[in-house]
Amino acid sequence: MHFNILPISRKLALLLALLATTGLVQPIHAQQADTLEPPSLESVEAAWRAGDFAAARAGLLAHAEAGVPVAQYRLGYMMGTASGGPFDREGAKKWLEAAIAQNHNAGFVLLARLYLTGSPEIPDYERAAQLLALAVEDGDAEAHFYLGQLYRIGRGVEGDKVRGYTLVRAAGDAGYAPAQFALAEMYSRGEGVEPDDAQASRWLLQAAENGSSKAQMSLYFNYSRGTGFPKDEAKALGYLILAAEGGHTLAERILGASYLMGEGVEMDTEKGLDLLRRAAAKGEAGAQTNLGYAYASGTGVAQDDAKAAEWYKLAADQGLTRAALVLGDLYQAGRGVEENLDEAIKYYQIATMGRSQLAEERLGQLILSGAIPPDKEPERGIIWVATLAETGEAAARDMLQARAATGEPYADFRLGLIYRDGVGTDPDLPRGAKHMMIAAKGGIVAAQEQMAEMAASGNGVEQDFVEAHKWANIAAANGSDAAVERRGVLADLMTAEQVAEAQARAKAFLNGQ
Amino acid sequence: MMRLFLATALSLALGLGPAQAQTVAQLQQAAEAGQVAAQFQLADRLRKGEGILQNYARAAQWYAAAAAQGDARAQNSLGALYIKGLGVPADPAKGFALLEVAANSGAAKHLHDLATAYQQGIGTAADPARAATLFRQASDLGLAESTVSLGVLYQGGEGVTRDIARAIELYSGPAEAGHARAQNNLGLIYVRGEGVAQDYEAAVGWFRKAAEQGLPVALTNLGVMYENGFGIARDEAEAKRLYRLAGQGDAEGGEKALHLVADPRLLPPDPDQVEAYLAAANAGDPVAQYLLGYVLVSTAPTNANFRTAAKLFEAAAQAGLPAAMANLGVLTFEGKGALQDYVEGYKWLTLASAGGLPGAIGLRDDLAARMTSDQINAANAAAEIAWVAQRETSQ
Repeated sequence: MHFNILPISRKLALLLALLATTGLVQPIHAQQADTLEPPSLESVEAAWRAGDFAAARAGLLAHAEAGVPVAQYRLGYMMGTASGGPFDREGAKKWLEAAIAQNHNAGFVLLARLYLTGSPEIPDYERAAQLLALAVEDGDAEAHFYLGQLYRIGRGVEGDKVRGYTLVRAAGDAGYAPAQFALAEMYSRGEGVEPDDAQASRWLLQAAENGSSKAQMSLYFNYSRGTGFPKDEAKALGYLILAAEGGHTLAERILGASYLMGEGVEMDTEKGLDLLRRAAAKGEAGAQTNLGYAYASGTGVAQDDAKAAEWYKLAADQGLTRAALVLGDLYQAGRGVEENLDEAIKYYQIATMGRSQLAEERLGQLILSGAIPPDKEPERGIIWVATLAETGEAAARDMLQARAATGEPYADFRLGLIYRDGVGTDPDLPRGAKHMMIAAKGGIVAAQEQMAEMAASGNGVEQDFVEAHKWANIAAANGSDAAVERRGVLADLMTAEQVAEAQARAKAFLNGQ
Repeated sequence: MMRLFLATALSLALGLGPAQAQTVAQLQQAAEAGQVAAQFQLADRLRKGEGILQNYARAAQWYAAAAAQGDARAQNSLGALYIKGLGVPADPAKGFALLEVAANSGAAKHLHDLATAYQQGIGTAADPARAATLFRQASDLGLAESTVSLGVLYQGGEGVTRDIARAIELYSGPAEAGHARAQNNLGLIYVRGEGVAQDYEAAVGWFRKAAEQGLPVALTNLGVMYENGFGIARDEAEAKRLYRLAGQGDAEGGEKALHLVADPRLLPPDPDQVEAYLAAANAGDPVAQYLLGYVLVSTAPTNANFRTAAKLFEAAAQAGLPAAMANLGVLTFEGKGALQDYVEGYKWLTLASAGGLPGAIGLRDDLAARMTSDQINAANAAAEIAWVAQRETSQ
C-alpha cells in the first residue's frame, strides 16, 4: 500500500515572490582581457578610478592573491557585477568574503545578493542575513529592504512580520523604490502593520514616482479599473507609458498592442510593433501572438504568413491557447508552414488545455472526417466529438450515438446533456434522462451528479429524494464536492428511514459495480 | 521514530485490557448460572458497548432472562428496547407493558419512564392525567427529572389545570440545584412573561446556566437572545457560535464541524511530523497511518485528503487500532472521502468503543440519533462479524 500526499509549501511560494522582487543578477559576457605582466597597484587604482574596469580587472588578480584586501574587494565587485569581464558568482563570493575576512567592510549587500540568488545551488539565507545585518548597521537602504524581505518570509532569520515591516519601512523612507512598492503591499494586506488603504496608496504613488515600474503597472491597473483610485483613463495611460519606458514587459505588450490597434491611443503601428518586439524578445507570449497577428494580417508590416507562423509558434510552445489554435489552423491549411496534420493536431490539443472550444470542434471534425483514424484517436477524442455535436452537427451526434451503443458511458453523458437541455438539437427530456442514467450507472461522476439533481427536482425523471440521495452519495464518494452539499440538503428534507434506504441502495450499487 | 509508533500500535491492537476481559467472562459465567444481577449487568454492558462489543440483540436476551426472574430494572430496559426496536422487533405495546410491570416495583425512575410513555402516547393512548399522577409519585420519591416534567404539564395545562405559579415553583428547586431542563424552562417563562413580569435579563441568566451544561435547546435559546439583543448586548457572532454548539450548523450552509477523535493514550497528532508519519505509514505502521490521516484532514480538509485519510484509517482499523476505527467511522458517517453509510460508520464506532477508546461511545450515540433502529441492528451484526474476523486473523 502506498499513500501519496500533495506537498503544499506556502513558504516556497513566498520565496519565489521574493526572488522575483530581488531580481536575478544578469551575467554579461565580455571578452576576457589578455593577462600580461601584472601592473602595479597604483596603475590598477588609476584604471578603477577612471572606470576602466577591464584594465582594472586584468591587473587585480595578482594583488588579490597576494592578500591585498582592497584588491580582493574590487575584483569580487567586478566579478559580481559583470564589470570589465564576465559575471562570475563563485569568484565574486570568494574574493568578497576574503576582503571581509580582512575587515575590509564593503560589498555586504552585493555579496548578500549573490547568496540570495545562488541558483542553481541552494541559496545561503543565513550568510546573506548576516551580511545584510552588517550593512544595515551602516545605514544602507537597500540592505534594510533585503533584510526586511528575509524577515517577511522567515528565511535565514526567524520570520517576524513586524520587524520585516520596520526594516522595509526604513528603506522606503530613505526613498528606495522597491521598498516603497513592498510597503504598499504590506499596508494593503495588513502585513506587519495595521491595514491602511490610504497609506498603501501613498506608498504606491511614491514608488511609481521613484521609478518602480511594478508600482507604475499597479497604478495603471488601479486607475483603469477604478480600484482603490478613481477611474481615470488618462492617468492610467500615463503610468502604462512610464512602465513600458522602464522596460516592464507586460506594459510593453499592453501599450504595444494599444498602439498597433489604435485602442485608447492614436494608432501608431511602428511604435506598437517596436514595443511588442521588445516584449516578445523577452519571451512574452502575448506579444509574440500579437506580432503573429500583425504579420498574418499585414498590420503595419508586409503580410507574411511564414513570419506570422514563427511568432505564433514561439507563443504556442509556451502554451498560449489563442496562439496554439491559430498555429493549428496554419498547419492544417499549410499557410506559412508546410501542411502537417500531426502538428495541427498537436497544437489544437495544446489549445484544448486552455479550454478552447474552437480547438475541440476542429479536433472533432478531424475525427469525424477520419483524418484522425480510430486507432490514432486519443481517449479524449470522444470529448471533442461531443463538443462538435453541441454545435448542432448531426453527424457528430450520430457518432456519439454509435459510441454510446458500443458501451462508452461518456458518450451517454454528453448525449444526456444534449437531449435534456436541447443543445444543438430539439430537447427530448426522456431521451436525455435515459442516456444520463446509463452514464451514471457506467461510473461517470458528472452524470451521477446530474442524476442527483434531476431526481431531486423531478427533471426528466420522477421526483424521488431517495434516488437523488443515492446518486449524490455515490458521486460524493467519487470525489464530488457539489454532491456532498446536495446530499446534506436532501437529508434535511428526508426521514431517517428514507436516508437509510438511500444509503442501502448506494451501497448495493457500488458493491454491484 | 518508526519503532516507537510500531511498539505503541502492538500494545493497543490487543484491544481489551486483561482485567476487563476477565470481568466480562466472569459476568457471562454467572449470568449463565442464572444469577439475576449478573444477567442484568451483562445486558447493560452489552447495551452500552463499553469494553465489550455493543450488541442490542444479546443485551435484549439477557434483559429478558433477568426480567423473567422479576428484575424491574431489566423489565424497564427491555421495554425501552421493544419501544425502539433495538435488538428485538419494534413492538411499542409490548414495550409499554414491560414499563408498566417495572413501574409496579415503585422505583421512581421506572414510574418516570411509564409516565413519559403516557405523556407521549408511546405503546398506549396518550393520557396526560395519568402521566401527571405518575410524575407526582416519582417526584415525591425525590426524582428531580419528574418534578420538572410535572412542571411542564402545569405550564401547558396538560392533564392538570394550567398553573404557571405551580410550574415555576416546581422548576425552581431543581433549577437552583443545577437541573438544566428546569433552568431552560424557567428561562422560557421569563421570556414569555407567563405569570411573571417579562424579564429578559433573568431569562438570559437561566438559559446561560443551562447552556453551560450543554443542553442543546438552551444553547439555541441563548443564541436567540444574543441575536436579538434581548437582555444582553446584541452579538451575532456569539449567537452563531451558540447555534453551532447546539448542532444546528448555520442556516447559510455552514457545515457542521467534523468531529475527529484523537486517542489520548497515544502521541498527539503533530502536523510537523508528516514526513515521518508518511514513511512509517507506508511501512505499514497503523499508529502512523492514523496520525497521518488525522493531520491531513485536520490541517487541510480537501476532498483528496479525505479520501487518502479514509484509506489510511481503514488500513489501521483493519489492523485493530481503535483510534483509526473511530475516525473511519466518523468519515463514513459524514460521507467524507468514503460513501456515506451510517451502518458502516456505526459499526466502526462500535468496534472503537469496544476497544476502550475514550469518547467513542458518546460520539457513537450522538450520531445514532440520525439512524433508524434497523440500521443500528444491522451495524451491531456487522460489527460482530468484523470483531470475530479480526480475532481470527490476530490469533
